[in-house]
Amino acid sequence: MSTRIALGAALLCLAGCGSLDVSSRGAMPSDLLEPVGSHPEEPLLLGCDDQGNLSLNGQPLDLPVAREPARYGVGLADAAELPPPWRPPHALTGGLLITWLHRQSPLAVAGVRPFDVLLAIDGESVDDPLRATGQLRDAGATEVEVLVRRRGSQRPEALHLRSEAPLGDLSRVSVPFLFDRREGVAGDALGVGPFSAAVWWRERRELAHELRQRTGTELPGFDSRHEAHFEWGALGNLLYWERRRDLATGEERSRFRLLWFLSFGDDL
Amino acid sequence: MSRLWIVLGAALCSGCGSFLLPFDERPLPAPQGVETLSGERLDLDQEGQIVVRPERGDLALALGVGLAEEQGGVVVTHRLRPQAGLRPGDRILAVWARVPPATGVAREFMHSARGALDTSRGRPSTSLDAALEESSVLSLSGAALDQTPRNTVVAPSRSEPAPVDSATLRARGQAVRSLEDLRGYATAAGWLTLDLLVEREGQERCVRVDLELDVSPVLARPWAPSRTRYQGVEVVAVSELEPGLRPLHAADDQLLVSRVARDAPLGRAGLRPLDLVRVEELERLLAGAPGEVIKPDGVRRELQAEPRGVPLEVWIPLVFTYQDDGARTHVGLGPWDTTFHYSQRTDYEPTLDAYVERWRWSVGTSIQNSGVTSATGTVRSGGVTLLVDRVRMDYLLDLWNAEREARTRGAGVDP
Repeated sequence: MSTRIALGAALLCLAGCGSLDVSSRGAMPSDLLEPVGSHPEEPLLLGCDDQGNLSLNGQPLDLPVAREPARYGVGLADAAELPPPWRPPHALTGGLLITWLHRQSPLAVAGVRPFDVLLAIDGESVDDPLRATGQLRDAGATEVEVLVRRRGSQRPEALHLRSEAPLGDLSRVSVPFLFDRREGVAGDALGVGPFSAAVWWRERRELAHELRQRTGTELPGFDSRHEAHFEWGALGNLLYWERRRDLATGEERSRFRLLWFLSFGDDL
Repeated sequence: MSRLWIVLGAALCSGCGSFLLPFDERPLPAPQGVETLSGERLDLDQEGQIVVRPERGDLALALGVGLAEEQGGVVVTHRLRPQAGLRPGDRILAVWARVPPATGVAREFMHSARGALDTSRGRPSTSLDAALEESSVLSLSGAALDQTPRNTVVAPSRSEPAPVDSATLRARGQAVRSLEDLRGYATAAGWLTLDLLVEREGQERCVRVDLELDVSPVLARPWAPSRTRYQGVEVVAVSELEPGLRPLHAADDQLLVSRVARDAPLGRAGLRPLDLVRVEELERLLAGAPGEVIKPDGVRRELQAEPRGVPLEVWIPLVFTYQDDGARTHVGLGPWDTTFHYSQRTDYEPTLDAYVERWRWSVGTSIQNSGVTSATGTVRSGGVTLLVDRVRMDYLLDLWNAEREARTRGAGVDP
């Protein structure tokens, strides 16, 4: 009898649950951009590293980047400091280029991407990176309206943003064999029982990428989008359910899994 | 009785260990340069030495000449460097920036993306090329894509650009009618080559010039080092600097902060190199009172910090431990701090250019809490543990690493 119990417990532990990890760090990945002066014989490629510093064909550009890493997770550089041939097509007359974005930044979740241009904050046009990041820092948890011009577009777009919590916040409380609770800006999770095998759930905002061929260039690029991923499991994942919702389009997919391998619902 | 002596002996032999580290003298970087009266920029080099370099965007200094707008064009007025390619009187007609081609760009990106694609699809590596030709859309796993280099350009070419003639330069280059047309090229000083179409003595010529970044150290006598160095700060009197190197808008009776150590209490309070401060304000700051500094962007900021004191260690074997040096604090109760311990340290984190506070406490070895507080938020982890006491492990690792960390800070290493 005791052997069976031990085997059962071992099985539950092995099956375990999904990861309770809710942490999310680092910058939004950025692909390359061809400035207006790029020529087929001598192509120019503007890139930005994970600190938001700009480079041209892999060589560093001495352009100051102002960052607000705490609430809105954004880094800005003034495109007007670049020579006209090195400016992106949507920032020909200058503007504040977004060169760094925290992957859980309210701007990133709203669809803003590296190389988009920040035009105004709360109706006030911005042209100085330090002042703009200062405005966002002062805004804190209050709602702000930002005006951005997307890469590949000339039309400004207004976005209402709110910073729910500092982007670096993450907490965990655990009591072995009883419960494990995790909470962060990217989501939260709770597990009950040894190795969360009794029951667990997790809700997390995840970043997914799609590789695309961009029009007008031979370089491959990619698009990123945020998905809300909710899942729960019980009895060592004998019962498991998950749902994914695209935050941009609202498209939802879900499935239910029984006995670890019998799956019902959408293909995920 | 003998057992008691053995335990006491072991405790004395093992000691309580020290969490205190040598004062970290490594210099803080300057967040931004400051403009001088001569139009150049004061900055800090990697070793914390004040240097002067051309103002960001000043192409004339990068070319080594003086430029002026004249009759709808840009004319070279004088040479700043004897070896400059341009001569006084040259009129610049067009500019073509010869950016070295990045031969490795597509290959590296394709390689990375293909690797990521293979991870998600398990298909041969040619699938990406085929997919791109078909303009189809493929999904990549986020984790795989995150492993790709963020800056996908990895192999800038070092080859010399091909020589050009006047006609090609006029066709491919950008016409220069004012200094505004030359704006921004100095952001690439140090690696960029410019082909310039110039009119010299009535004839058009192509001149190839490399943009150079002249950086020279600023030598100045420190102000009252005996009063400031122990606090991890060095300043120079603005009046001691050459007139052209004095910060714009700085008064002669002000002091320029030339060095702030990482462990300096005033550094933790927000003082940075190239800040300006009046003598009386600095004296107030060194005494622990609130004082005002002027940041390079002109913003005035009030700071206050407890002056650096003498490190304090109190140790009663098996009963009590207390260590404090202002940057690190440790309190422990019981044999080897097993009853209770609390540790806190504040360190400069170069990758964030900010101070990070780490803390932890545990009661017994089971109830515990630890956390890291930085400018971006707080990461905390706590609860009850039975098998592996992570906080206690960190505590031991800190002791283990203390000597290595001390060496990193330059202590214990023979010159």
